[in-house]
Formats: sequence, C-alpha cells, structure tokens
Amino acid sequence: MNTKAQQTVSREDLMRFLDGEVTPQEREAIEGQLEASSELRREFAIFRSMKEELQGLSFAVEGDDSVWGRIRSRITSPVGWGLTVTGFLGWAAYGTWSFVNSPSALLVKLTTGAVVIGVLVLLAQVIWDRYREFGSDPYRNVHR
Amino acid sequence: MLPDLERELLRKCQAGNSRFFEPIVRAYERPGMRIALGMMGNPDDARDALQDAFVKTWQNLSRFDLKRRFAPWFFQILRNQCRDALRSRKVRFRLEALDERLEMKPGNPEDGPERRAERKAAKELLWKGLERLGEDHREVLVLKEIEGFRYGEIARILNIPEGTVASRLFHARRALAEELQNAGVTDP
Repeated sequence: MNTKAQQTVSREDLMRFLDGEVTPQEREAIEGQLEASSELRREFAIFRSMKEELQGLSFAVEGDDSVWGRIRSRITSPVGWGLTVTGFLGWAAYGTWSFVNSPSALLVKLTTGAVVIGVLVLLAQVIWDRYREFGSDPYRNVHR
Repeated sequence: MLPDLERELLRKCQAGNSRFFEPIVRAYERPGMRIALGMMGNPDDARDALQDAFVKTWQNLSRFDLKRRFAPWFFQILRNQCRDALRSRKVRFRLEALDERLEMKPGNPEDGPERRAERKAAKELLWKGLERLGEDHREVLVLKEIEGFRYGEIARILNIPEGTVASRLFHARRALAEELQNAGVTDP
C-alpha cells in the first residue's frame, strides 16, 4: 500500500483526515496530495469505504432491561451485611456478658452455653460446606 | 446528561449515597453496553463486564477527581474490565453479535431482498474480520467507529498519546482490510 507519493502524507495525518480531525490548512494540503496520487486515492477510498461499513455495524441494545437492579444489590449488600454482622456481634457479646453475670445456677449456665455453642458449630459447618460447593459449582454464573 | 448535574450526582455518590448512582448507571449503560459488545462479541459476557465495571466505578469513586470528565474515566474502567474478563476468565471474543437479539442499523428501506442479503453478508464478513483482530486493534475501532469518540477521548480511555490513536487506527484499519482481502473481499 505504500508508495513514494503517499509518504508525503503520514499515516497518522491520513487517519486524522479520514476522521475529520484536521485543521482547514491540513485538510487542504492532504486534499492536494490526494489529487496528485492515484495510489493514495485508492488507499484512502478503501479506508473510507471500510469506515462507512463499520459505522453501519452499530447496533441497538435491546429493550429496557437495565443493569441497575443487580448493581444496586451488589453495592448495597456489603453495607447491609456489615451492619447485620456488627449488630449481631454486639448483641451476642452483651447477651453473653449478661448471662455469665446473672444469678442463674452454674448448671443452667453450662447447659445453655453448650446449646448455643452447638448451634453455632452446626451453623458454621453448613456455611463452610455451602462455600466449598459454591467454589466448584459449574452453574454459579447462570442467571435465572 | 448535563455536566453540572452529573458532577452534583457524583459528589453525592462520593458521600456514600448509592441512590444517586442510579441516574449515572442509566445514562452510561447503553453506550457502555455497545462498547462491551464490541469488545466481548456477545451480550452475556458484555453485560457481566458492564456490571462489574459499574461496581468497580462505585468502589473507586472516592478517588475520582470531580474536575475531570466522568465518561472517559468510566469507559477506561470498562475497557480494562473487558480485557481482564477476556484474559482471566478465559472468556474468548465470542461472536454472537449477529444474533437476532441485536439489531444493526437499518439500511435503506427501499432496498430489495437481494440488496439486504448482500448487506447482511458484508456485515457478517466485517464482524468476522473484527473477531480475528487483536484486542488493541479491535478496541480502538470499536471506540472510533461504533461509539464515535474523538481522538482526544480515545486517548484518555486507552491511556495513550493522541498521536498513537491515529497510528493505532491506521494499523487496525489496515489489518482489517487484510482480513477482508483474505476472506475474499476484493475491494473492502
């Protein structure tokens, strides 16, 4: 595609001319070069034709299906989780402190503590299993 | 969206109020989707990349300088997200943009069925040519021809000098012309 005649117009200037990003003086100079070189005209015609076809490729994005709903849940859920976990930890700490310092019998404290710890261990086990399953789930990226 | 309004919304977003992010998302999701489609080639991967880009934008909004324009900054994040997705998730540019769910710009309504079929075939060849280009070439063509950005904006999005935009466009167009010639198009 390169010849001596078209080397007077740089590739960058030819592109800027094609895309309408030249000054009037630059346009005039490049138009002069185009008139003088049939090879340059031919190459420019190819680029222009391709540009028109590419611009025709623009497509309408279908429907009114906004991505906002999913984005909102992704950016607000960390806040919700943060508040829930913080609140739960505060409540659990206060409850434990109150219970330990209550006048209940030692046996009642020990058995109640065993029940609470047992439930927490089971809950942690379920969460851990679900986490491991999620890591190897081939359908986790499938949306309904 | 008016620049002053956009700046005000972004200021409120930076203060942590997520409901002011909605108009920003709605204003940028269509151009964003077109760019992502051009880079990823299919609507599902494009939508995923777009969502991830908006979430990253939200997470990094505190670092955004309100004196700058938002659009190039957001499209730069989107472009990086598309590139990361194509690499790390092993998502390949997968050509489904000719799927019926996507409409191309309508041609001349007076064209007969033969002319329309010719146009469709020509566009298929163009898409296939784009598919075979490297990421650098495809993204600069998408930003210029499909989204119509000016060189200065493309330079900011791709984080390259403006002169490099012209040079990269030249190489991208020449590579596409060669692909079309290889596909049997005598005069692309």
